Amino acid sequence: MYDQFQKAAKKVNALAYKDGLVDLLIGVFFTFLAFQEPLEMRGLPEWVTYLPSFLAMGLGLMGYAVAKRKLVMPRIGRAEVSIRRNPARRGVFLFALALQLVTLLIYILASTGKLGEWLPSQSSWVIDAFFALAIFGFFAYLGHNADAPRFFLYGLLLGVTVLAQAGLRGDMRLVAQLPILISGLVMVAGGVFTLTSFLRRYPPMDLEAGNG
Amino acid sequence: MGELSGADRHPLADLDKVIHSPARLMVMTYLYVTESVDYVYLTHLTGLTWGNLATHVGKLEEEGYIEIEKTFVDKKPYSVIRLTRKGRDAFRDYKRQVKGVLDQLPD
Repeated sequence: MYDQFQKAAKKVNALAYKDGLVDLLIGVFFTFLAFQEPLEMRGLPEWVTYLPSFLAMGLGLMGYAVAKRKLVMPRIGRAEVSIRRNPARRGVFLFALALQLVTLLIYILASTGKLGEWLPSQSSWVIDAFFALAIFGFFAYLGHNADAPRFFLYGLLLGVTVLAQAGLRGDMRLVAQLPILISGLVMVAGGVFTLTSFLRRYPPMDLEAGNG
Repeated sequence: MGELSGADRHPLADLDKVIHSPARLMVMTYLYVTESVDYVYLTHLTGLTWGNLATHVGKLEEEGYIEIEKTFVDKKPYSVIRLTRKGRDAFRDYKRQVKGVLDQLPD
């Protein structure tokens, strides 16, 4: 019986990710994030270098809300889902929370110098590998719970990006932005493709007929 | 033959008939894992036609298991459906009853 609830919860979530808007939103963020390092190399203050990504994210969020209301709602309607009721979404939330807590812990340990004491300097790849695996795990889990296999690919791309950036530090800083740019662009392309298929597959429904 | 009563009655005989219909069970399951859904979303989830869905939703509303909030979106009528406390409790009881019987069956 529990399995039936999991399936129902997954189906509710799957429908919510069918429009590709989340792909577009995350993709735009990562695409702009690739310009952070080149801006920093130009000597701009650090907060300014992150501005394009966060502006893009802010505008993206506004566009997301408008698109959900104007494009998605007339086609597939809307569901209000909470982690309290939906076991699939609760799992993703707990995974993300655990990931954030571990990241925070690593950050605290690193900033107090404790991490350096425990981990030899040549073993810093362990932390990079952990982040790569965690990011892949999060996207894979999200993809599994939303029946959206494309998220596995995004997770893989971002995981490889973390490793590639770690491997290309120093003189290769500019080249190291390529993987993140490619990941962002792949997600944007995935979003555009998913959105186009969605618009073709689900014509607008007469809200009045269904809701009168 | 007289109707069985008390301990002689099969537990399945006491199942909530309003929930037990496949279409309404489906509607209740989706409402159980969400806070609320609108008609269009529910149509896509269940695969029921609007007419059919409206009939079952009406029956569940009549029983007090769900509530329908009617508003306007872009000057068009818009309805949001959610389970009531009574509906959530009734569904939990139904789940317990069915599970109790099915768990006793041999593989």
